[in-house]
Amino acid sequence: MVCMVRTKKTVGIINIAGGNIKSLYNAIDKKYCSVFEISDISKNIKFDAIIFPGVGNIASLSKRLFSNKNSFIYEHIQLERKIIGICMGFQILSEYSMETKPDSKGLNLLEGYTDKLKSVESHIGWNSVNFSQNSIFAKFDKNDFYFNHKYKLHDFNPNFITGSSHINEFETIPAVFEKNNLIGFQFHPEKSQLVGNELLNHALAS
Amino acid sequence: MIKKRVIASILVNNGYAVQSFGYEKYLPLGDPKILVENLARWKVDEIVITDISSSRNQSSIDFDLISNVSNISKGTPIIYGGGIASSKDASLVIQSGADRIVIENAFVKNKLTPKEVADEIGSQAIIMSLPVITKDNDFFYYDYIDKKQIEFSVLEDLINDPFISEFLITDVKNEGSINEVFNKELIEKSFFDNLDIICNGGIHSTDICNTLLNKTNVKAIMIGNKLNHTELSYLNFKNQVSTRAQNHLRF
Repeated sequence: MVCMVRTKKTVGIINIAGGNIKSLYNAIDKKYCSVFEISDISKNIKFDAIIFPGVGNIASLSKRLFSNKNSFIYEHIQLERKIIGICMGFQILSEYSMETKPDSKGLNLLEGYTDKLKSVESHIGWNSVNFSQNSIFAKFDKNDFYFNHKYKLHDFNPNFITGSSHINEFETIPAVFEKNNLIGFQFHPEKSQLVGNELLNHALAS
Repeated sequence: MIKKRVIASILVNNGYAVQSFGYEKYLPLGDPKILVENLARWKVDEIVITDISSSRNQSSIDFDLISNVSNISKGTPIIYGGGIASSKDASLVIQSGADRIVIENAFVKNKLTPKEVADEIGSQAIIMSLPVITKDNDFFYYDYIDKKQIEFSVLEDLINDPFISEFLITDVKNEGSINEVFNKELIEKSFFDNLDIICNGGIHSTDICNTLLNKTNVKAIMIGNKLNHTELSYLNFKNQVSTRAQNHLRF
């Protein structure tokens, strides 16, 4: 008899900006993933997926990201391994953020930049996400997820936006980005109770 | 559309969850972790943990408490308030597992600015608490620690501060009351027109919930005592408000 042993995926959570990674760690299914905290991005460690979490200050994240040797992140991309950005971690994947002066440099992995919401100061709480049919998350269409942000992606390529949310009748925001191994969520799946955990683990498994 | 939130409040005093009666008397309820476990199971929109022993005694923050409740919150957002006196405190609270924080005293006493905290954790995570008291048909900020009332005009800069995302308005007189309800005139004050508000204190009747949830500047209502005593109280509560109010809520 041949016994198949399924190896766990290795997931690294980038923790260089002092955010809350506990919720994220708790949300990931440890049956299928071994989760590690990455507090030193200059070390050359290989993971199946890395996650940029979403609580903190983007200027501080950008500063720490670019004041360190961060070649491991670009190497991770070249190896076509998965990157997931959540909220601010999604925004840091863009070209730059106008949240601070001078602008904070992003990783430039997706088209567009981050600037203020247009119709409201902040978008905080639960809102439904409309997923497109071609999204790997289509089965989560119209579920409510937890948002907590004041900035959003501008000038993006709509071909890669696979989920959106209406803040009100005046403003719709890009909520999900998918391009090859790059996934961005404007909401917090790790703070969106059971449905959020399922979506996050689906993102890691896909 | 963004939903309005029904937030569950847990007050903690020296490690025990307590029921407050006007922040003067406290009835012990038990281990806060048990309450969080129940509220998370009922899928409340957010949970606020307020450690009154940390804020009043200005003692150190119980980071283990935050960490423990975060571990069992099942993805329910946790907001923590109590004793945060520096941006480092704020950062450590977030790192311990809170998603957002409530600050009052450190801002009012000018020990800390919202920007300093935002530079560490982002402004979307900052809520300012504003206990409000009425006297001679006028409204005042109530300083619980020094037990004195302060004119709101003194706090004008803070109220307009762009680094604060929401304001937690507590009706001091009716907080913990069984018979009296939240005074809706508090949030009708023009001072609060452009703020995003969380209402707290005396929110236990469906009538007041219906009224508050239909107000534009009210983004959330916070309920404490009412939710802690009966199984599935949270779901029952949402089902009892008017259809119009339900349209604003998540089910």
